[in-house]
Amino acid sequence: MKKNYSIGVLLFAILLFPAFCHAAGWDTLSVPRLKYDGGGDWYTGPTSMINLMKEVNRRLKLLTQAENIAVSISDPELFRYPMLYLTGHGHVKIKDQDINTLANYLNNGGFLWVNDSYGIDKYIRREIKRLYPDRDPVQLPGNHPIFNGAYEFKDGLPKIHEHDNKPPAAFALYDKGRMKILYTYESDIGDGLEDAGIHKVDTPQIREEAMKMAINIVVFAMMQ
Amino acid sequence: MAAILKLLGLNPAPINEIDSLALNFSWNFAGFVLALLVIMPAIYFGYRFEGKNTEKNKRRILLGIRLFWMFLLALVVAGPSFVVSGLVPEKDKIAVVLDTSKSMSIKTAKESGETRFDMMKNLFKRGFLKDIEEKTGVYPNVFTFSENVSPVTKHETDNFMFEADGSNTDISRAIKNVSGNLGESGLIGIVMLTDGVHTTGENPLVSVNNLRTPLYFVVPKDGADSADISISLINPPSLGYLNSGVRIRGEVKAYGISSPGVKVEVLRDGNRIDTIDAVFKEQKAEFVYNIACDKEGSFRYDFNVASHENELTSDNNSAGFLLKVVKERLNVMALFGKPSWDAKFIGNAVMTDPNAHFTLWTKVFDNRWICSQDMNPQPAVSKLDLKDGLKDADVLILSDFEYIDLKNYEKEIVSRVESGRMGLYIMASDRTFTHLGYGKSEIENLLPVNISTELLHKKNGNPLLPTRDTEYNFLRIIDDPIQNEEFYAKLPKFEGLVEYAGVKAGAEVLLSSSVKGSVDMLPFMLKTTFGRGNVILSTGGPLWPIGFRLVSSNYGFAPYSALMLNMFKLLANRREDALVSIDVSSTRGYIGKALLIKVWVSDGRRELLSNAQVALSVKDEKGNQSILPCVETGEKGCYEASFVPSTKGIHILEAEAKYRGKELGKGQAEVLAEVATAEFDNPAVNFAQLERLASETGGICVPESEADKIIASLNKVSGNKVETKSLDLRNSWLLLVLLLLLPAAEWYIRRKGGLS
Repeated sequence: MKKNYSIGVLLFAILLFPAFCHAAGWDTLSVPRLKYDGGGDWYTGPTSMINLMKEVNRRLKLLTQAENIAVSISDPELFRYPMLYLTGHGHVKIKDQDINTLANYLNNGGFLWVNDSYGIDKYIRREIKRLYPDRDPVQLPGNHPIFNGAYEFKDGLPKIHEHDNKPPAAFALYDKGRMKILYTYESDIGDGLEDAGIHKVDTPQIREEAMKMAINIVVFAMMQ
Repeated sequence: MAAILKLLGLNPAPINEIDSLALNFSWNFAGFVLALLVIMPAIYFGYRFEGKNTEKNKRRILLGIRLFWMFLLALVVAGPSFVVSGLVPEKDKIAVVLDTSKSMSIKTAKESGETRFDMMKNLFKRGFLKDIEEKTGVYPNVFTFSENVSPVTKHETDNFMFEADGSNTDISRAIKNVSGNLGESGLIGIVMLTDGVHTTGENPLVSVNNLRTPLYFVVPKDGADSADISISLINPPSLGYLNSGVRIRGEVKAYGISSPGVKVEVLRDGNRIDTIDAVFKEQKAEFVYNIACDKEGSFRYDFNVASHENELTSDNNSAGFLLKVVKERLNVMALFGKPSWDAKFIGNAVMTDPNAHFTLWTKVFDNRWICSQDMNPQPAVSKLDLKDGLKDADVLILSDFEYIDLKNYEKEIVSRVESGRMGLYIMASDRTFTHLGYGKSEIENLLPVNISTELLHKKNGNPLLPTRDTEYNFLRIIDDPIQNEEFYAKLPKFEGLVEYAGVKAGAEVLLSSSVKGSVDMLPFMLKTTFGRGNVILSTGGPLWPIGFRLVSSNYGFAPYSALMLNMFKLLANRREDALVSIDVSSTRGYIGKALLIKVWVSDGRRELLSNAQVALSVKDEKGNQSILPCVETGEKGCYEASFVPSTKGIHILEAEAKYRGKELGKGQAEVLAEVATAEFDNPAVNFAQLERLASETGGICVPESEADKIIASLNKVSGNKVETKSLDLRNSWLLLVLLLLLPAAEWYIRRKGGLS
């Protein structure tokens, strides 16, 4: 009986093998979160990127790595990922020696999405200025193509999480005609991507809006 | 053994010393023994039951005679023969091989103007061949060699009817051909009259390993103060793009010159535009020169070094090429079946060229498409619309794109590729062509591979250059060929590769890979042509980690972008928009070397035309015009001719085509013909190598003035060779006599005994 059981398991494994091979195909998408200094919680919302990758895989049929990956700027693996996600509450500080590396990353095709989870506005603006001293982020209008990509948002950036009763806004830092940093302010899409139940106020409709906007950001990053 | 054969009346001539003798049967031994086993008992029992009253002794004698006769008869029927092996004397031979390559035209004495070839001519005049004949008793077999080896007649040698105009000195081939032609047995020696430069082909030191014949060398000697300086360019480009630059790499070599460096003059259309300082390092100086393509048109560039006193030859003091500068109009269109980092990487690579335009269409959902113009995404639309974009595209990229979405544009794509107006780059994905629905489509015909089977290998690997000296400029990312090869080997690895059923005829592998398929290493990048258009297929991917991760490497992102961009320029296939256009395998030709010319003919609708009348003419710098016969090829609309330049300078090729009496148009191209300088790369006599070759084979190497020493060392070799001969035993008179005598003897005994 035991022998028959082993043969069954083996046959099952052989039958499933091609399916596993396909699932582990090339060009697997992953968006790691960026570790930074200054004491801010870069690790906040641990399920948000996992959920985003799962939905990108389901909806866009892209192969994704649905894991909570984190990478620091000094890590050589940084250059494996064309898109990074930065989030947190409070203080954000990039080390002096990492500024050049991050600028190099962005100048060679990298894309950084900054999600304001609350309270990082003045710090992130300061760090963006350190990266690009001669440039300022510009607010994206509601008809910007990033709001009409995979999904259409007629009113621009959706409001996902209430912070200070301010309207949501998307700021972009352009350099040499390309958007290098997208900063979503007063919207907190990251919260909306988290598992259901973590934020009680996020209804399924709100969470769906957050997911759609996050997918738009990923698709936009891949096309520019 | 010879006595036995003589007794049997068999003649083993010309074998005079028999080494071995063996009896053989055409039925083989087994057949013969089986025949005996059947016949002998039958005879024996026949006698035993004969029923005649015979004495015991007489019966035995009669039985013996009959059995022996039957044995002989079985022997004859079984086809007996003697196989004789032994030595056969051979006639002596000697070969004299004269080098007729261009380096033999180098002057050895400045005052008299005598060349190396003149020295050999004088040697012949002094009766060198006759002296050899007197010493060995054999008149030499004379050959000439350069890139080929040819036997020459006595009339030609008596009148020295030779010219030093060959393009190569292939000593290895000369030795092999001569020893193979004459046979080494009885070959006293091979006397080569050569300067040993510039040796091409196989290493002669390796090819003489199995040679049993001594090699003798008569070498012309250079003057004591001879010197030389030569310049050569390494794969100069033929095409440049307006407002960009091309990089030229060159090398200056010096021999017998003590100066630390040399000035290289750069000329454009005969006018000096710049001077470069080349500093010698071990008698060699490498230089790099950047040409700014700031004007449209065809330009002739020459790189000259000044002649030195007592220089062996001045033919190698100049190197030139033709550069055609065309206006950039690179429109690249990419169709992606889903969002991909590859699209971002390729788009940004294309956008590094300010004159390039990139349109990217990406399918997000079934009814949602995003178009990105020059990497600026536009608002999504519900339908794919290629109507206008496709007409302007020079290159179309397909990646993971389903056939059903392309079907409406298939005919236009195929037609644009076939007419050479658009190149196609197909990227691999983890969805195979069959999954994407391309089986039995017209697009399938454009592929360089057979897609009847497609096997995805989920293996990491590197793209590899199949040959270090690739003929495609876009694959030369780093100037140095060794570093360039290493560059590919050290690229971050791709993650998967598709193995196809096979490579179609005419397709070539641009990049190989480190991944082994079911038979051999799998190709990573393949190229083919369809009509006049180019098609390139990447079998592995994704490309983006390779490009993107280079940021932190020593070389940066730029070389990889350049690779992609230059590949698209190759695919764009920039021919003039004429109905008749000329394709030259290279815009640089060499005097005496054939150059392949292709003339493409199409009609007003850009359809390639068969059965057109094509007249191709060529005009040199002095205005001399000649007609080149053009032959229609198997490729539709393609007509071929061969052009062998006979003079230096620019040659203008002009093709005129008619179809059913109606003139279609004219096409023009230019070729710069030069004297092949390979013979002058290292012009100094290579005495050391020739001396080594001689000593390895038991011969000697002497300067021309001491040629007598060679004659003195030549000795007759009474050569023998082993020969095998088959002698049919049925030709033996003794066997015949026995076969006749034995029945007669039996008959006589029987008659005498009253038994008949």
